[in-house]
Amino acid sequence: MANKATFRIEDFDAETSTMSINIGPLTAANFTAKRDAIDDLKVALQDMIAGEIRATSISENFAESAAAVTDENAQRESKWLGVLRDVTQFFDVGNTINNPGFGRLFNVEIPTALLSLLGGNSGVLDLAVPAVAAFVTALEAVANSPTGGNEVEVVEIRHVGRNI
Amino acid sequence: MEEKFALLVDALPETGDVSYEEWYNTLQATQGGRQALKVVHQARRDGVLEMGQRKSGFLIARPGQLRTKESEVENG
Repeated sequence: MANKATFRIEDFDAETSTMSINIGPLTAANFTAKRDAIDDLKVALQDMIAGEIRATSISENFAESAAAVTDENAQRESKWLGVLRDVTQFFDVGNTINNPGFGRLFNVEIPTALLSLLGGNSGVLDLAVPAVAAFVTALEAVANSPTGGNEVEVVEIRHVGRNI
Repeated sequence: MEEKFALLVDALPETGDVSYEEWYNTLQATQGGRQALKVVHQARRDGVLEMGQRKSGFLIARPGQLRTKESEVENG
């Protein structure tokens, strides 16, 4: 899949829509040049439209497994619901600026839940089970809260059904 | 160190790291260990122990004892 640059544009009555383009390979060597070119495009785009550009994003797509899905229980309607909590109480070293999002909970959904990880007659995962512990550690290392990009911790992961 | 983390850390080697699965199975074998495992992520957040994904698998160790990703590359 191609890498993309996307501009999110808001109209007169606060509705949003996007413009996306393919931008070719991204490397450490060309990232700054690509970003600057996209920034130039954004400036030119603003003069072409009546709305306002609210956000610009660059996404890189990595090709992953090409294997066929063999487990018939792999259904997108069956999900893990991860509950995460913002654990950054203060924004500054001196603890004078409160993080308004501290303690706030938010969710992440993971499709095609592998239900064999459940145990103990519970729909909630034991976070110490090896596969789950590896996931929680990796998630907490990289995931941020939606309020200010703060560190998060996983509170629980449970199985849920979802209508798509 | 908090008492609730003691069992988790006691089961780790003094130096170097150990496979998480092996360590988990050891603790699972005892009632106290099973209870202690409930706070394993809190122990990691508090810096009482370290976990990490390496080429050789998911590892756990006392602070500063986890092998680095660089050393894994050097050792092939």
